[in-house]
Amino acid sequence: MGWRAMQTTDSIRVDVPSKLADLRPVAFKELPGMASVTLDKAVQRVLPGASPAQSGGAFFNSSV
Amino acid sequence: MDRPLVSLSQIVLKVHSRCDLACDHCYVYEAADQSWRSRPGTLSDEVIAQTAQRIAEHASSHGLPAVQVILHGGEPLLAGRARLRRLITALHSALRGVCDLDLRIHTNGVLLNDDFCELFAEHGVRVGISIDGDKSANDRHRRYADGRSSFDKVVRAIRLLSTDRFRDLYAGLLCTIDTANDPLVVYESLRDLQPPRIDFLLPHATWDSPPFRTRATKAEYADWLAIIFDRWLAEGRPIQIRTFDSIISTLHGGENLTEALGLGPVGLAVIETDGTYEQVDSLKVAFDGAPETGMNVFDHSLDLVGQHPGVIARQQGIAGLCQTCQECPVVGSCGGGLYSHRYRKGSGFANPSVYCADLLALISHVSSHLPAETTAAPGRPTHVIQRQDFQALASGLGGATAITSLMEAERSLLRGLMGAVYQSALSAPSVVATVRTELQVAWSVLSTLDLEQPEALDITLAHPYLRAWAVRCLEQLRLDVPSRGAAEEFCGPRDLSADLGHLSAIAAAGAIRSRMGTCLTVPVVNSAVHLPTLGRLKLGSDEGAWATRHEPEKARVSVITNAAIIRVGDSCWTLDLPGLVAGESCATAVPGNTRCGEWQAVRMLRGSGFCVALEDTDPYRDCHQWRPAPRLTDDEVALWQRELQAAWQEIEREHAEYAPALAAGLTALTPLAAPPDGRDVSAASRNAFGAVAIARPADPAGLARLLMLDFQRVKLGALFDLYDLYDPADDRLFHAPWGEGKQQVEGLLQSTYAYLAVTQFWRARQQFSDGPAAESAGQHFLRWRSDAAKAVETLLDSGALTPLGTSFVRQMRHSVEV
Repeated sequence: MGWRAMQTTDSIRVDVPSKLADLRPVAFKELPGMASVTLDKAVQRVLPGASPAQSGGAFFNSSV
Repeated sequence: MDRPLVSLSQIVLKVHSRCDLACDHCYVYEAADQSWRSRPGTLSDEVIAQTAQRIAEHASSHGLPAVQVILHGGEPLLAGRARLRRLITALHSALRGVCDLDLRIHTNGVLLNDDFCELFAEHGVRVGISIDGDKSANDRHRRYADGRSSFDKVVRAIRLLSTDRFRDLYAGLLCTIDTANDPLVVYESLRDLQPPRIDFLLPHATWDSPPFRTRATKAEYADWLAIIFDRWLAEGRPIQIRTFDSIISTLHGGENLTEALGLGPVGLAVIETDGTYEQVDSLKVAFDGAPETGMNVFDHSLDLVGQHPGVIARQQGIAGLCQTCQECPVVGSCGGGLYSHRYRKGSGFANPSVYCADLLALISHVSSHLPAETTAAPGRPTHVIQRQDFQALASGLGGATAITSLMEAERSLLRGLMGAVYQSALSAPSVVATVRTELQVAWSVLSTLDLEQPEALDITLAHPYLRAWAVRCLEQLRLDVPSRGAAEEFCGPRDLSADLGHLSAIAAAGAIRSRMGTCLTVPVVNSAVHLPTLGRLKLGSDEGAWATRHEPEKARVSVITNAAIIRVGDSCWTLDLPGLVAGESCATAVPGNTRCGEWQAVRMLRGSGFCVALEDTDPYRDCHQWRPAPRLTDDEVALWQRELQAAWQEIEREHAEYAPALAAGLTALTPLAAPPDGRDVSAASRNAFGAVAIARPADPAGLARLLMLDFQRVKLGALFDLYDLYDPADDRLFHAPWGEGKQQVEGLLQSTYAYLAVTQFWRARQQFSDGPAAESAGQHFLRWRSDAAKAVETLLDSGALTPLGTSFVRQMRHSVEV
């Protein structure tokens, strides 16, 4: 068999990946149970200042 | 050392060293350290003044944005209102202008009354209370010295905090685990007290003084917590439980939320009633004197406390753990457990936790029982755009497939935002119980629709102004930004409850579209019951005016077989479902109504190639910088229809490359009030994908130009949601050539991208015109192209673009040059 050019074609899709998680497959019922970090990443894309109230270190072991 | 290593942003201030209860599991009095015996009962005024000064100087030298001070004991309420007031005042006074002060108090609750709550409300002190579950569970340990139960007094205190008056103060409940108690009874009794948060505390123990175990299993504390976790998860996580939330967060790469779990640094110091500094006071279980630092507020700064080896040891993350922990697969979530629980004579704290088996079992249980979608989060697929579509968008265009990709991303983002609103609202102390219940009902309806009628729900969720609503809720829940309304008609009370209630309106609109039987409570906003994408029931005058009403008015929306029934007070209207969905319904008033009401449907503008909602009812359409027009008359709608038809024909004829994106992505046209000076105004909001707001211009050509201009902003806003095209931290201002003053990079990029379309508009006008019109268009074209070219170069020279942003703007430059 003779040498053939690599079979790249112009139909190959090249995607530009984004920072936004695809949440469409997540059922509504499951959304509140998702990790805060996942929802917060969505919020951060829209409201950069709206990080969760708890951040910046581990919190004293109390209910306050 | 010139610079202290550690900043301490949490101060536990012991305001009273004695307690009015004699709980047998208390680490202050019943553990190895007995230093309380030699301390004064309460803080002296000298200690108060010096403490406030030390905290302020530390916050200042470290540039801390906020310090959290937790008033603790013993029982801090024993200090009395007068002393607490002096202390709080001193802290506020010392920290004013230095940093924010987040004040908390943790109490057993038995002395909490209206007077204390008034004091705390006055100064924003949030209150946490210890309670171990139902009465039998609580009475097992939390008793007075004579054996009496404290339960009734504690519950009375919690109910006081639950009243609307003091609800903002309610921080949460702390429950020390006793595995002899039924875990579900404990959970349900705590949950029913509606705390914003529960903390479950493993009883303090060490390897030398191990925890009490009732069964032969190695991990009975994990078993006990796992039963609660399963119920909590099945209930949709109705409240925050910090133990579980922390594990879930760390399993997904987030921060730990408690010092008892995870690897995050602990920047905490304790100040005792005599002014001595101590390390975290749970160390009292290790050995007598374990928390000591040998320092005090009079002779030492908090910077010096930050250099204490015991404090530094808790900053080192995984490097500070023993070899066993370092090699453990769950170390990221566990972090070796609470520092104090690692202690063993001889080896000190270089051990796994005495609860190691429990922590491993619990974290494994949480990890394996989270829904698959949740556990997949770190590797969750992200949205992608095909490179050819990305390049088309960068050139200023983008066809239907590119717009569809953006719409899909916006759908995803809205789901995330709605989940965040729901999650945040359920745990926000300012959200009252009735609103939480309404939210839960609405979420349940949405969940059912999502499962059974996803297409109908998608139509509702595609509404541009749902994101504006979600953002407004999150601003209030997370940023304390008050609700606002820009339009003249938005003069009724708009508070967080009304905004959150809109979730029920969204669910009701979805239920109507899918004909799903349900009944929901929705807010009355601006004298109207709003059903997004469908319209609103505008209510007539009401004898009970807003000014005299204490609570926002609410309506009940019932969906039955073939009709929707809206009830407001004693008045009721029915609307037939097919007509409602088709935009043709009238509201039929039930005889005997005391109020008049008119159904105002969302009207559609249709023509060859376009179908756009004329949005003049939605309460969140005031998210643009211009005032929205009030409800249009039928004649005005007819005028818009004619003008849009003509503008669309012009777009298809002269700007055909822009038509596919507009046809695919423009879903709402929001009329703006005409400005007094008669100039053209239009807007697009990043929080309203698919909507363009316009004050009707003088002619169809003007409308075509404004549609093209602002749909560019719609596209680029969606791209900003997907990609980092610039450095958001870069706050430099850059010259904008079109007389809009200086702009930050985001604004300049937005304007430049929008004016690409204006440049192309005038280029095409020149080509399709003759004589003076062509000459005028040519002059406009040259000016806009010159300005766009200058702005592109400014952006490329700014150093504020990411590599992807640079590639994007280079493509924009190519469009300007051709």
